[in-house]
Amino acid sequence: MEITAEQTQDVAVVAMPVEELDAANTAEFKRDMTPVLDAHAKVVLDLSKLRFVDSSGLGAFISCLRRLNEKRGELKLCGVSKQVRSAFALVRMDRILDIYGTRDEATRAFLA
Amino acid sequence: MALATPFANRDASGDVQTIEESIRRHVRYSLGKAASGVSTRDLFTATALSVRDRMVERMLETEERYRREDPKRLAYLSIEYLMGQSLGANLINLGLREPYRQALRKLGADLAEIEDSEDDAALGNGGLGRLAAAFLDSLATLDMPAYGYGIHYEYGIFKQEIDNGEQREKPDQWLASGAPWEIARPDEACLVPIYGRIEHAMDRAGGYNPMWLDWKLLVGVPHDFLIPGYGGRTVNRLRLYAARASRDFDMQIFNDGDYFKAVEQKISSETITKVLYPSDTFVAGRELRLLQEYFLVACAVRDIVRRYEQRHATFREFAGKVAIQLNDTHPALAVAELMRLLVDEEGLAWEEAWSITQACVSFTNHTLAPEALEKWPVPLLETVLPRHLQIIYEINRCFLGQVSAACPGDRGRLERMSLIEESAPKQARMTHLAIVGSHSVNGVSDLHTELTAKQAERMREQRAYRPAEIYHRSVRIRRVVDSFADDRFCRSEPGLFAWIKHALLDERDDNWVLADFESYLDEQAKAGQTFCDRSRWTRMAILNVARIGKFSSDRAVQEYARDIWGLRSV
Repeated sequence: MEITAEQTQDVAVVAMPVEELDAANTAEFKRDMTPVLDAHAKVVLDLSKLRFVDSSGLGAFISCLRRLNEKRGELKLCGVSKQVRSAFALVRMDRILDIYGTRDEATRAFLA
Repeated sequence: MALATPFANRDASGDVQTIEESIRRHVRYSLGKAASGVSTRDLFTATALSVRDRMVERMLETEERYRREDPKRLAYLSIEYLMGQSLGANLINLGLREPYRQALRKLGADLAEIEDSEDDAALGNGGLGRLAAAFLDSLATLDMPAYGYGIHYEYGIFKQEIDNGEQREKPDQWLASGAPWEIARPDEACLVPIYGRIEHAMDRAGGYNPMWLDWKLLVGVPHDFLIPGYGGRTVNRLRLYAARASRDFDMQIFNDGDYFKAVEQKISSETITKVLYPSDTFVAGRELRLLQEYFLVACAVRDIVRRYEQRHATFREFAGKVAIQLNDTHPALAVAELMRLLVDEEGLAWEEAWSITQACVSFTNHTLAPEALEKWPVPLLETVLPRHLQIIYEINRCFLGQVSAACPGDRGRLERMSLIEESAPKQARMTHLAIVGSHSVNGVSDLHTELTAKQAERMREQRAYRPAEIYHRSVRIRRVVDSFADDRFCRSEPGLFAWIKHALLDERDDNWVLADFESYLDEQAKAGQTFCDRSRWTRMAILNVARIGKFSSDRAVQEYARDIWGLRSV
């Protein structure tokens, strides 16, 4: 999975490169996110492209959040489609994740 | 998107010639057959499709009426619907039986013969499913906005054959020859999570935030059956859900190279709506049965909320727009599912969600017999529906708090009324959940509730049940009771039913089965004799039909609508 981070000041913005995050590619996503999570404490994950996420994909987001929290970092999400937001609500993940409409809003929230 | 030019309906009228043309058209274009070599079955399918066209027109008109007025709508949840054959009933309700008879005669066919060729949609065991089907019929007849929700079983109740004195079950493949009445709606499919675990986390404000993770997903695909009321003005819908695997294959297994295991998992998901359990044997497939019940409830609640949200931005009006009727305890998990959806997904406070849930839900109880009251082992619930178990515990905590406040120090009462039975393993009592979560509870009939409750109370007071004495006194009863222990019904599995004899001879049997068994045999004998007197039997049958108003489901539905649902005709 091709994961690249754009940097704005000390914030890394990562665009989710796939439309579906499920049991088939979650391990790959977690592996390829590791360098970004190791290198940054403030990460924005842009999910504009993502259309479907299953339970293992949701687990991957929690795993990212935990890794950042361990070093007092933060994860913010943006561009969350209605379907993906429904999956977050189902597991009450929307209550532990900061979700914004756009990349700019998420980045500004870090810089404010 | 709206079509640039609306459909000009020239094919849904009730005149004989148009009907004849419509049947011909369905033979040719829906079945792909030439006029020669058409079977009775083909003619049934073409006729049913032609009738369905007319029902679709009226259903769309009905939906438009509901859309304009946005009335309160009823969602009727039942695990069974005993619909039976539909062609004859639909034609009578639409007032089209005579023109169809004439049209078919012109085609060289006989309507009665075609009606007889229809497979019986036996998606029920008996009274429960028949009641549900009759209620839907009456709701449409009374122009009431109502939707039935159920399961799209692939096999209905088994067909019984007696072979060498033993019962042999044969599958009821009611869908084998196609299903002309149903309209599949894959575009309105919904996702149903099952299994998984709860992760105990904190939310951003530091509050407890249980997260339901690692679930598997099922897809519920609705199939609509149209229900025309008598007179044909209103056509409502019965929505039956079929389970499908969430993806065509489990991609991880597929990627690991195990193609066959992936296909097996897909088949396993679809097994959930494969078969209707006979009422007395579902213990055999307990987990599957629980999954069936939750699948029905999850699909129905999701659809109810989806429909409501099309017109409303908040849940303030929900209880004023939605009534949910539970037909027996099988859909009792609707209480926990609606709470989960309102609290977890919609973010409502627990108290607000609870007041909405109670205001919407009502429950019809079908039995007071203790052994027939549904319970689920807590470990099973924890495996299949971990979040719902948490919610049931929280409902119970709030409820027992109220009981304690009303009757301080009465531990026995707390144990009796608790949603959780403190047995080994613990059991969740579905009847209690349905009662606590409803604003109205009624017996399936006044007489049934009254008799059962009074009789049970009287017998408990007398404490005079001695089954062993009855057994030794009556040769007839002894013969019946012994038949369970002598393997008459289970020659291939000796000892299978021996426990029934012990249960019948147990003084703690709350139903006192042996106490009135003699009178049951007497009545059976009388019924048998009367049946042999054909003219007397016919006279009684006609009189019973003439008196049917006493038991009319139309009247019952009117009372439910007024007293329980707050529903009006539209």
